[in-house]
Amino acid sequence: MLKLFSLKQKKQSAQEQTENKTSSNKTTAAELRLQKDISELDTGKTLSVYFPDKNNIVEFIVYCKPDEGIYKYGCFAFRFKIPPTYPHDPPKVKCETKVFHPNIDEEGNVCLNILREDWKPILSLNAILYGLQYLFLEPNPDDPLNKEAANLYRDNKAAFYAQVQRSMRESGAYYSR
Amino acid sequence: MSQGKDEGKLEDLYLITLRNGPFAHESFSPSEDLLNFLWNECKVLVVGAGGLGCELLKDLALSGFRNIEVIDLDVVDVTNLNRQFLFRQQDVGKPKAEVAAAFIAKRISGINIKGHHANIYDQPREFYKQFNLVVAGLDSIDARRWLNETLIDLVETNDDGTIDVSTVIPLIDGGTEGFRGQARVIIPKMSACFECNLDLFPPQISYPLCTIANTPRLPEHCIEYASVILWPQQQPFGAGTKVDGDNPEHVKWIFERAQERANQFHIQGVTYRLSQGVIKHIIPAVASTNAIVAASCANEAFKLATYIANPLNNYMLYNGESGVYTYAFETERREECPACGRAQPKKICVSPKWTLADLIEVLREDTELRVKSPSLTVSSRALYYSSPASLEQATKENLPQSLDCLLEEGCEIFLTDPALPLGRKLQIFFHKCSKKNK
Amino acid sequence: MMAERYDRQIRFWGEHGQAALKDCSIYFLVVDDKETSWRDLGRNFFVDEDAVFNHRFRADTTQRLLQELNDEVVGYSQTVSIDRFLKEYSSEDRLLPIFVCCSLDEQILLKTSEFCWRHQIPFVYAVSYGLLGLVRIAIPEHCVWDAREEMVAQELRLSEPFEELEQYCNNFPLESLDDANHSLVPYAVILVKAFKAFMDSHQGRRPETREDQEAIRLLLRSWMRTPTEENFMEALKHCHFIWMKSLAEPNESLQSILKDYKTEMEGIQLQVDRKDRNLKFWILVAAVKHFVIEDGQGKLPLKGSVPDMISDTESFIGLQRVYKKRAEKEHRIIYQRAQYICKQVGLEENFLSPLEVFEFCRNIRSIAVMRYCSLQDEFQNNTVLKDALKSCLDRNEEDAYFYIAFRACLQFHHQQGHFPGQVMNGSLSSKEPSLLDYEQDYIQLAHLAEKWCKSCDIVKNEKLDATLREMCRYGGSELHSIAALTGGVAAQEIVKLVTKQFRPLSGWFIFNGAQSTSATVSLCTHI
Repeated sequence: MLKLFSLKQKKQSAQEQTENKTSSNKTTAAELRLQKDISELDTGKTLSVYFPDKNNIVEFIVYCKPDEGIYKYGCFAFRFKIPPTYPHDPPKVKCETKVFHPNIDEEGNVCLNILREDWKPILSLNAILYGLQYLFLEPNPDDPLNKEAANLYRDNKAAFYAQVQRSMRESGAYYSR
Repeated sequence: MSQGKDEGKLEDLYLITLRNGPFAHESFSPSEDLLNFLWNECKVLVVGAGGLGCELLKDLALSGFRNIEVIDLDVVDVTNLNRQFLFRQQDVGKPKAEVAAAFIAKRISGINIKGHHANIYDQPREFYKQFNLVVAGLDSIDARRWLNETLIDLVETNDDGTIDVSTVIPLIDGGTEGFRGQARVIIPKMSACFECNLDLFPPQISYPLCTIANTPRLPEHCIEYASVILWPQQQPFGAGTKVDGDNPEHVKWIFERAQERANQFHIQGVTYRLSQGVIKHIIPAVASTNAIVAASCANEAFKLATYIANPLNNYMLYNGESGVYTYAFETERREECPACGRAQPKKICVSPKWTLADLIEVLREDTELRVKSPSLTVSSRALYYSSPASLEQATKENLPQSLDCLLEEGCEIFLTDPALPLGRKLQIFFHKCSKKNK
Repeated sequence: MMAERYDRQIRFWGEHGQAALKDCSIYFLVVDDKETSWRDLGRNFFVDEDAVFNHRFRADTTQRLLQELNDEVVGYSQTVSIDRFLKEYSSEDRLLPIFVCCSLDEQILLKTSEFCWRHQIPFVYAVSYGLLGLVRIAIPEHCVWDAREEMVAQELRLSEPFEELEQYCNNFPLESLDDANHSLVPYAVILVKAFKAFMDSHQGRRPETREDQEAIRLLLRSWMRTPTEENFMEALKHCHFIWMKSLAEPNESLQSILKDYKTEMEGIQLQVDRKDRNLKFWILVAAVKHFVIEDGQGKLPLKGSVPDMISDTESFIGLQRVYKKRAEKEHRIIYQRAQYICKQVGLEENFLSPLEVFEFCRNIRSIAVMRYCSLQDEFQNNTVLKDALKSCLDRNEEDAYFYIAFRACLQFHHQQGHFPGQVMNGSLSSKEPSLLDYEQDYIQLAHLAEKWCKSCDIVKNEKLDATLREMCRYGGSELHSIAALTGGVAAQEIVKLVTKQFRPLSGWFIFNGAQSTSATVSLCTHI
């Protein structure tokens, strides 16, 4: 057990003080955790990740290219920003490609439960990637951000499909192989 | 008044440190040296000069600690005055740490107290190294995690791998919310640390985005709509300006937009106070809980410094909502804690002329690490990522570089790998051998 | 400015809690007849060197320095003995809202608490003794208007829907709704429908058995359009509301409050005559009681709020409105009943404001009445204590031994004029080691404790022995951190007593600072 009083006076580190090494303002535990999450990103064939600055991994872009479903041949960019409080707080994710989708709005806000109310530190970035991929395979009209898209999806799949195609063409999300 | 000044002031403290009792720590030995140590040598850092900090400074000063420093970045705000009793109306706008230190110095003669109006993140290791004890009264998880890790980082090991106890600085951490609170004692590398049970802290309340956007039902939904959806759309205070909960103009804007939305949906209860609370995630704070939790932290500090009784091992919950209730228990140290995990940085001896690829090969062959696709960084700079592909592309140019171009002797490298549950720190040493020895 | 200063606490106990504090704490009074000593400077932050040099009284100095904290509060001090204070005080007509005693003298404790008991002044005792801290509350009766205990479940009357609710549910024909609207029906509506459907298919029988519960779950699942329809998932999560014991009727503790003598006309009249401090509370309870019997068919008034649930805005707001309207209707009836009672006992018609009544009705499920045992009874009549200590030790709250040791110390002090192990002021500096020896005192203290234990049927064991020795080691000393903790607890309890929110401590709170543990010795009946 530790005994403060019995410890001899600490080596006075007057000389060392001139060194004045300032500590960075991120916790290393958070950095380590992020490095681990990032180096284990499970991108498969439908995702790719781009880092504008390899030395600043708190900001990156994930491209999602669904290979089946309504959004097949589309390419959608999501900007990830990792807060310094990660993994206590979830990453901030915005969709940077305009898309006609029940759960993504005009501003690129994404309605995915684990990005907000259901986030837990035990989840990893991969959980979010899976969630995004799933959104393109199975849009969820019960939790709409884009109501128009949700209603169309529910009421008229063919019209919805056409509208998606149109929007993908307009926004340049179409990605020809 | 036959009594001398100092003797009089210290009489109660002398009595408790000069006698043994059944509840004293087993290695307690009554002696005047204990108070002399407190009085003359023991240096305490109080982190935060807010609700807990003010109480802590007073409690520590009256518990015989006479060398105290306090650090806080904030200035006094009018909403502090209901509980931060070292501040007065005329102090609003002045640095908390300085006002608090000055007040204590004025009231308690002979005390050696210093206030730092500064950010804890900006202080060098040497700043923290000079203290025997750190007591924290912070409200941010981030700052506590950082402080926790900083103190863990200061712990050095002897050559035989045991901990050099003279480098261990205990951290006493308090927190409050309404009538609830907690106090805990962290002995870095020896007992559970803040990071070991980060999950004891509940996450912030947040609401589903689709509810906010389409089916608001609560006043909170309307306020979040204004701050999360409308704000970025309309950028009312110029492009790129973030919501600042301390800026009354910002809060007013959000409050008014929220009110409009609430009216539209016939939702009641949007107020300015609620808006500010939702934006800033304000936690209600009352003076009594701060007094209780801070006093308990100061009591633990006194016990740690004198051993008149066993220090708390290691967590005490306080709840005053129904009756008065406390519960002390031991939180377990996590073997794989990313901050204090028992694995020491692994020392790796390499030649400065090896390439990064050589180093990675050595790591792959290491029977202790057993890594397959390692990723390496040094002080946030990428050395090499095995994955994802784009980072691999961007970092593979480092592979043929020699280590002395990439690293400094003695630096710490972060190693992560799917095979390592948390990653590992490596410490790199150079030796003279020019060829890679297999 | 005012509101801003108190912002962080208003967020906790609300504007009405803050208003109660303001009414009560516009002044404070410090009574103490000692001069400031150097020792006080080591214990108390609200004294200064100037006071010692100039022979100022502790009361005056503390009052002056506390006053600086808040200029909205007026402080007074009286440098008289407590005997004289009590004697002179009784002739005054202004009653103190709260009395706090911090003396380690048994006689002062008993005298002041007796005085407060007689005047129905809430009495708080707070002391520290070495590493031990103690707080005790005593008042003949304290009524809690809002215990702020989160209800396990909201009272929504789903299995006994009132007319307006039933009508509202008819707006949701589940079968013909389109998918979008189907997924937005609030679970409260779904459960009312499930309950009705069950009754219809079971000859009007309420669900009781496990099979019934399963049948309701199956029914709910059969209504789902997709396996993850979230509002139905919520309904499944809350479907126990249907068969759980109804929250609409008063539970056992509420029943005993409603049955209390103080709710009867003679009981109320008596309180009016005595100017009892809880008169308003009991008139309101009586009004609710009449409502339950005469208007509510055995049910309490509705709270009127609805918890958040998945729904579109319109349906949710509509549902809120249904509950709120119904609740307001019921609360108005209770207001009329309260006015009637006031008239009957000769009180003015506006003795109770409508707001007070409505607030009371909303919180009717979290009211509480606490009747404490007086310190006189506790100190003279061991049978009361016996059970309290026993239940404490049965819960493994071993710090109850500190209570016994503390009582023995008070008795020791009363007999010997000093505390066991006490070293007289100033003599420590002589460095005479024999001064520190407490063995003799320990033997006498143990003797007192033993006698005491016998009368309480408590076995004197090793733990108690250790506790007694530890108390000798403390020797009546005061450590600031323990005093601060004790003071903090006392302050918190005072806030509870004044705001009538939260449940206060039910007797003694004992903080063992040596082990950072605590115990509560309950000396109070909750009704």
